Amino acid sequence: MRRATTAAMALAGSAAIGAAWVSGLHPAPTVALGPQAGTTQSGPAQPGPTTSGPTGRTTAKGKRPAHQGGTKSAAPRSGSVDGPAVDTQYGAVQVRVIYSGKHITNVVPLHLTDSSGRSVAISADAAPVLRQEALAAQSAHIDVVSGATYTSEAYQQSLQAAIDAAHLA
Amino acid sequence: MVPVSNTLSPTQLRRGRPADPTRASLRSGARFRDWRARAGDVLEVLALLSLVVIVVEYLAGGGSHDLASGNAGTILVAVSRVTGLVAMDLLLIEMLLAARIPWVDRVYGMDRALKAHRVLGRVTVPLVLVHVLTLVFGYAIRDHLGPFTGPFIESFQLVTGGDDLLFAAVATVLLCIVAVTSVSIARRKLSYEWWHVVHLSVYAAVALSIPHQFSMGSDFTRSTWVQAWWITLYVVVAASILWWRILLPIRRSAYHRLRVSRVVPQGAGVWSVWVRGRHLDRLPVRAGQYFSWRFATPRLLFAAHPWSLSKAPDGRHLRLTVRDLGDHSRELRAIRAGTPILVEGPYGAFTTESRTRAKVLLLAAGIGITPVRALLEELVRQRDVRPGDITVIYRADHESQLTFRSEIEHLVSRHGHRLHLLVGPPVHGSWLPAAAPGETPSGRAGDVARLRASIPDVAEHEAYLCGPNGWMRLVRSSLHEAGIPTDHIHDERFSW
Ligand SMILES: Cc1cc2nc3c(=O)[nH]c(=O)nc-3n(C[C@H](O)[C@H](O)[C@H](O)COP(=O)(O)OP(=O)(O)OC[C@H]3O[C@@H](n4cnc5c(N)ncnc54)[C@H](O)[C@@H]3O)c2cc1C
Ligand code: HEM
Ligand code: HEM
Repeated sequence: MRRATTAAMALAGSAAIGAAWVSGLHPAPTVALGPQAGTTQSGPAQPGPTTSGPTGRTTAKGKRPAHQGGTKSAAPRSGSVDGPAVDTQYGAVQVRVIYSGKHITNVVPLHLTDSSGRSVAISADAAPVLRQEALAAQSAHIDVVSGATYTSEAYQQSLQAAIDAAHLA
Repeated sequence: MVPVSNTLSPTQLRRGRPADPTRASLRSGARFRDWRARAGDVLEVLALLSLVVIVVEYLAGGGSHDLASGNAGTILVAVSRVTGLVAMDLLLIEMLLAARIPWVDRVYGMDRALKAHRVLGRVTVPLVLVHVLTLVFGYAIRDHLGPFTGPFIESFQLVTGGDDLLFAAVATVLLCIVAVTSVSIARRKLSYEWWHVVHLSVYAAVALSIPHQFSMGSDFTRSTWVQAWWITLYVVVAASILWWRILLPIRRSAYHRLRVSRVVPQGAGVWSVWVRGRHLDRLPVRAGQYFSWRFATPRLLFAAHPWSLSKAPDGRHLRLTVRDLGDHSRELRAIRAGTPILVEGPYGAFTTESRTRAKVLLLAAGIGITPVRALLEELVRQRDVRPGDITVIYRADHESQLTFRSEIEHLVSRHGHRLHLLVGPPVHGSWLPAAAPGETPSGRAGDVARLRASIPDVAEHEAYLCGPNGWMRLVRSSLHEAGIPTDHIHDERFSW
């Protein structure tokens, strides 16, 4: 590469990576993926699984969602499952669980509280913490993030439902 | 010594009409160099950009949060993800480097592209291993498994946990086998054909690693954009391989219908194969280039061998000249006239396309004379050089090994060019034959002194060399020391 190009590339590249590092420290709620993503279900004010159950979006060659498969032996062995959207007074919370065997490899928030800029910000801070706790605990038995109680509780519920649906418990 | 340069600068070249074919040819050489520098920049920026994009996406998508989390398990998995992403990108770049894409060939030449390919291979396979190991240890820590048994339990659970990771594990094993067999020491023990068959399994390996990325990759599952990005890359790479490695060669072979026209012995253990075909004037090939040849006989069809053209293409015939270097070369001696030929190519950046200097120095050793002979013929026939401006240096261990001697003498003498035939057994650390009494002794400094003594203005030449790798290394360093800048030294390697 010619010197000018190298310099421009190095500069632009490190700037982009630096900016990405900073913005990644506080990840925003992610871009929704999948048919159910982001839908806010209206239902009982009381928090709780309010939808028709996990959407059970599994990946990989059309394996069926766990809760429809019935027996455990028919459960998919790796894939992902969406928890239900759980309503709170600040907006719905919904997560997707990605797993391999009985291992939860990732939890992705599909929707987080969004009734106001403030509730967006609170959830955006809480979600990475909750995700990390969930991955460490490999379950929905995780601590509530202080200052984000509603988000935390709804997160636990959506997560628990997804875990149940995938027979990961 | 005053470094005299007869390079015509682009501004000089742009002024006025070319006075003669030589000026026109140097002018187009300068234009080609400009194009090549720009095209090289574009290719390299695209390659780097592909890496920056995925790292940026990974960091912004929460990667930096995980890396800064302070939790060992989380950090290890985050490292695993980024190494997986980078390794995948590098694997795709490697496949593109081996895909015979014409721009890559024209800018770097296939030999340099494959060198980059080898260097990248040595980085990529370890990166894949880092991806797998950090992942397994990260999960083991998250699952509170013991430090010794944990990784094994975890690996077992992962690989038996779903098809996708089983595929990925197979892919990893295949990649390791490919890397091990490709390291030069191991390669010497393996015949080229076996090595190649093993190497082809990387196509399977890369394909097998894809399912788990989509089903489990945090970045893949998080965003449709990430999926779309990677699918685009996979499609581009697959299409490039399909088109340039398979469809285009088949189309070209079918169009030109190449056949052996006759085989002519060319001295001890050397044969020329003359090739005829249709519309050879439309074959976009230059002197100095080579094809990968497949002759339609039971033994030769399944092994494509690279052989250079030993005659400047004239639109009616092609000629390749083969030294008996192994079983397949030997087989060519008895090949029948009329045998159909499939070719891949032409490939190679060993051409006069980028020449910007009026004087030309051609150096060849042994069978390396083949492309050099073609270059000489092209330069002489197209009157791209003024009389007396070419010097040919031809090195052989023995006089009987001077293939094409009379052809070269004929080409050189008609226009007052010069030919030095250097004959004698190899001398350790020198590319010249043993020094005569009274001459500077052989070796690094001696070689340069002797080169300068016989060609005083050597620094002003555009140099082309072809021969055994060790010989070329020595020549290159002599030429460089004698004052020729590296971008005016061109070579073709006959072995990787
Ligand atoms: C760009 C290029 C141009 C060449 N031009 C000429 C030429 O004009 N005249 C000439 O005599 N030779 C040329 N060669 C060398 C020639 O390709 C090999 O000598 C030939 O392939 C040997 O095959 P074999 O089956 O007879 O020998 P083997 O016994 O199979 O191999 C002998 C040596 O050749 C190498 N080799 C074998 N097959 C290949 C292959 N398909 N690609 C690369 N290396 C291989 C092996 O690694 C080994 O070192 C050229 C090589 C390259 C890379
Ligand atoms: C240490 C590692 C490696 C070395 C030394 C090496 C060397 C080579 C060489 C010399 C060739 C040219 C062979 C030919 O076309 O005749 C080649 C081809 C190729 N390599 Fe590698 N390679 C290495 C690793 C890899 C890896 C990791 C990949 C995975 C992407 C890979 C993919 C390919 C492909 C796809 C080809 C083209 C094969 C064909 O279609 O003929 N290589 N390699
Ligand atoms: C050829 C070999 C391999 C390649 C090229 C590869 C590549 C990748 C890539 C690109 C990702 C996506 C990362 C992301 O989205 O952030 C990934 C994720 C993953 N890989 Fe691999 N991988 C290979 C082998 C393996 C093996 C052998 C295993 C396990 C035994 C494995 C386990 C995983 C897991 C579990 C993930 C998900 C990690 C996460 O996102 O949390 N991979 N891999």
